[in-house]
Amino acid sequence: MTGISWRHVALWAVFIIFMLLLPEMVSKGTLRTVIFANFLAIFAISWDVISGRTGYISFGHPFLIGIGAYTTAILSYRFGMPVGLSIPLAVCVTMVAGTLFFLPALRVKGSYFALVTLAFMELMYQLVQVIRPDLTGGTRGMSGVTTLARGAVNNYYLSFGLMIVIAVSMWVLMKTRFGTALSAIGMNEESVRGSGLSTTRLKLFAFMVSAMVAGLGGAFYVHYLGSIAPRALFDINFVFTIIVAVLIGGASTIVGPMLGAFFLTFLLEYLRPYLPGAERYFIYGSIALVIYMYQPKGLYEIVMQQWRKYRVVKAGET
Amino acid sequence: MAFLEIDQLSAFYGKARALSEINIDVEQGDIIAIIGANGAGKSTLLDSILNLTQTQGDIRLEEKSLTDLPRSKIVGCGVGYATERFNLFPYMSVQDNLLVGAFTARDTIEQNLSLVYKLFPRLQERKKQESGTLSGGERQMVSLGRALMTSPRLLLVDEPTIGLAPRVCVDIAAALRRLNEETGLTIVITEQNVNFATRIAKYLYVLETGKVQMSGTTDELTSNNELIEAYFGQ
Repeated sequence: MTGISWRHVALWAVFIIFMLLLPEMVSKGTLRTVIFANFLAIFAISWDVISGRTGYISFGHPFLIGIGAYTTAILSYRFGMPVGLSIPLAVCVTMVAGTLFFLPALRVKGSYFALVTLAFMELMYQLVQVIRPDLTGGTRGMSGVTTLARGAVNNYYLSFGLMIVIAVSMWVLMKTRFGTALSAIGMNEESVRGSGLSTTRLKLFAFMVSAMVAGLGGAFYVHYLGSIAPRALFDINFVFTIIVAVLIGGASTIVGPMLGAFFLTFLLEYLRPYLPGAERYFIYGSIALVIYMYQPKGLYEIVMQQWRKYRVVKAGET
Repeated sequence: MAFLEIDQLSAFYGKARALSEINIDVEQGDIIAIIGANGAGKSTLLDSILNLTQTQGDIRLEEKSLTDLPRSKIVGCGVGYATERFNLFPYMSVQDNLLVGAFTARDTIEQNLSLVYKLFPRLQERKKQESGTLSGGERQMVSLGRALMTSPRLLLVDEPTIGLAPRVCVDIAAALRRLNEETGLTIVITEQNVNFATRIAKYLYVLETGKVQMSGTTDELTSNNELIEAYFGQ
């Protein structure tokens, strides 16, 4: 494992303590916004593991999120399975789907891979409406799905707990040589092969991990909302929100997607009173563009640059 | 039996034949150089040893055939490949670039890392620097270092001096020679720079349009008028 220092541990601890105290400091309305930010952070981290690291850009991530969400919703709502069982099962099913999602990566790269994954999402969108609508709820989806917690505070702690466990585990995983190898694939896959590594195995593992996170996020998300609708889930805007969160925050960093998710969710929320319609997306798109042009490595790199400058100044003083 | 035997090797890109019936024997501890112009098939030959191309014929390392083995197994057998320096991971630190090479030799990471830093002290000074910000010579050192992290018994080096300043070429040659003398590592180099090749190699193979046109000891070939005329321009 490389590059974990006491400073990292301290920063994570400060962040966790701050987030645990947050319900004492903000309104319940703000907490509800943070809940959405937590879920977006989970989805963004999941996307980052595949696309941010390996460079295989997925436009069909809702396919994985949707499988997790639909599986637990059907099992618990239609078959009365306890949520404690339906969620792990949903995660397993999503990981199997992740293997399916991985197959095109064996043959295609770049924009072709992105289009194939987009087709996966569209296929899923059509299938849930047509195949066994008695189970999936067809075009209307399902409502009345069991919720795991009541009230903004409890739901906040649940979503934050899930997000932080996922974020820290993924951050640690990416600090291992596995994470280094995945980043290397994103930069030069041929060279990784030349070093004797099986990029197929590495990518498969990355897809499985990403699917696990997407499945967990999707399953908890549906049990938070208490409903599921195919049009909202398999929506291209949802995909773009995930991707923009990662790009604004800083791809291939785990912390970056979290930053991006919080920034984006609050930006959209605070723009709502002034621009209630689709104009909001124009503003957020413009801000994303400016950040991306100014610093392609995202907010994370901007923060790191300031930190490095501070250290240089500090070193100069001493 | 030679350490590395390349027997009747032909290589193809689709239907196009890039190498024709190549025969090369390399003894353990030798440095040999494959020289030739662009498109002669030098890189293809090294790629073929790593099973990166479609081939016919046989390649054996200590009598074990490598031809049907997957790349990870070939590297596991002790074949390290230093590709052209453009094949680094530009946004990763020097040390992380080296560690990617260490996946197949996890037990000897520290030992290999200290060998690399001993050979190229400049890399140790810059181990936290992004490799994309290094000079051409330093990148070449990272490329060689990454191959050494695989604990090779046979090191393949693809055009190590391409586009480098003469002073850096001398440093690279010295490092390779030192590596060969101190560890007994067998090295196969491809080069267009005949001066560099003759400076370090014991045997030379001249490749032209996928065929070996001439071969022999460095002394033999450097006294060959035909070769001198073709490659030294004298």
